[in-house]
Amino acid sequence: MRYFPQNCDIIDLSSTDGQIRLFDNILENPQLDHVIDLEAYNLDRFFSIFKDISYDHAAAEAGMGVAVFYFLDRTLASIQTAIALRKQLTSSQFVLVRNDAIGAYRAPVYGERELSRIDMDRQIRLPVLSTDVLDFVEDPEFNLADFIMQRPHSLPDWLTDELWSFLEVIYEQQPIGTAETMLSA
Amino acid sequence: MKPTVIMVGADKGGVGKTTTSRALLDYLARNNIPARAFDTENPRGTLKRFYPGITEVIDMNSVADQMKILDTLDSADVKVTIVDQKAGNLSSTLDTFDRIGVLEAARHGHFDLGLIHVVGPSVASLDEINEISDYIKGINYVIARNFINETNFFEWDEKTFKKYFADLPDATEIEIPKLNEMAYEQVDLAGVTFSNFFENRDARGKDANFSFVLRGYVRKWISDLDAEFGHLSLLQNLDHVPPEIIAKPKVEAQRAAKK
Repeated sequence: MRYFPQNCDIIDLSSTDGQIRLFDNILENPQLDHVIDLEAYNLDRFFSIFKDISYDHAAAEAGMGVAVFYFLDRTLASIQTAIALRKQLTSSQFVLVRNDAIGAYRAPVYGERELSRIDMDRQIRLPVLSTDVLDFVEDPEFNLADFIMQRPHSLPDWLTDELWSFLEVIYEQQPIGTAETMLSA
Repeated sequence: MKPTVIMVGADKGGVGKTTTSRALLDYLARNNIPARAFDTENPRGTLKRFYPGITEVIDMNSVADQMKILDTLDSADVKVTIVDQKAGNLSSTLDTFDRIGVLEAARHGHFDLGLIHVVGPSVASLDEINEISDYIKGINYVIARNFINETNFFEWDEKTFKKYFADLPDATEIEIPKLNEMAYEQVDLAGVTFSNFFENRDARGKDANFSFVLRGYVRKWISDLDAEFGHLSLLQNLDHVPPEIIAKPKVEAQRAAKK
């Protein structure tokens, strides 16, 4: 909401009203891309509703694709949650996101074994950004779309270079032909 | 097929009798089992609002209305009869049925009789189980614990729980799961069956515009409830009628009308 006040809505998932505003609204506008930024504490509730109302099936019927971007943290519990979550999804894509800024999980051998049990469709690695770049990126006045479209901005060259490198690493991990989809989302 | 009478009742009010009756009629319809219903909430029946075509509002204290149910079991086109008992009517109806030999006839196999006793989480409601125990011997007795208010049934107090539920030799237990309140209200407001609601159809069978989320909640609830009804031998014994047989009379009626 802080970054996209014009096209963002805050939803209370604990209320049925909120659930209707979210899920019904998306199905009524299948021509648009929708991003749901889910708080960790809402993960169970969200996917419980998602499963109960067979949302991925309805989205597929409406001609929409659903992709779940799951951010792994350093705990095994995070991997195990990913495994359980993946099993719940039928027609949705499951994309594992590993953020270098968070680091790898704490139990490397066991963790790798568990990780292989996640039936992920693909994986994305987010490189680390320096604190200085993060300061710029987190400024509500800044947005990546303007930056990518090379609209005028006041970033110093060194910062622009670092940000381009960051984005390139991510884009290179996308299957061919999906970069535009990522940008519009 | 032997006639089957299923009474849905409780002496206490507000425990979900009519909701259970509606869900049961839905279940039968989805399984292609034709049924008729009697709503004893005289004079204005709630069940009739949702199933106007197959429901008749009756007064169980009237002998003529008792005859409408019992004397037509063999002659009625459909062999499954659901009786939605209004609050406070269960004990007196069982007493009447006992006195006029209905329970005895069921025990001798002249027809199948089942009672779905809907209980809520209160001592008054649970005490009914003991109060009617003499009547239910030899008939299909089902205790339906209604969780519609997301409550519990004294599971936290082992002594009380055992008092009511641990010693029910001839009873089958089912649970009525909780349905999202807003979904319940929307179905009620629309005046449609649960099946029509999740299939997004209005009371006339035309396309409606119900919320997907609410339809999803109803679909999940129906699915959970179907699993509960699936446990009941009373329902398992009912013959399933293939859809083409149900459709046939309509076609014939149309042809007759054209002639």
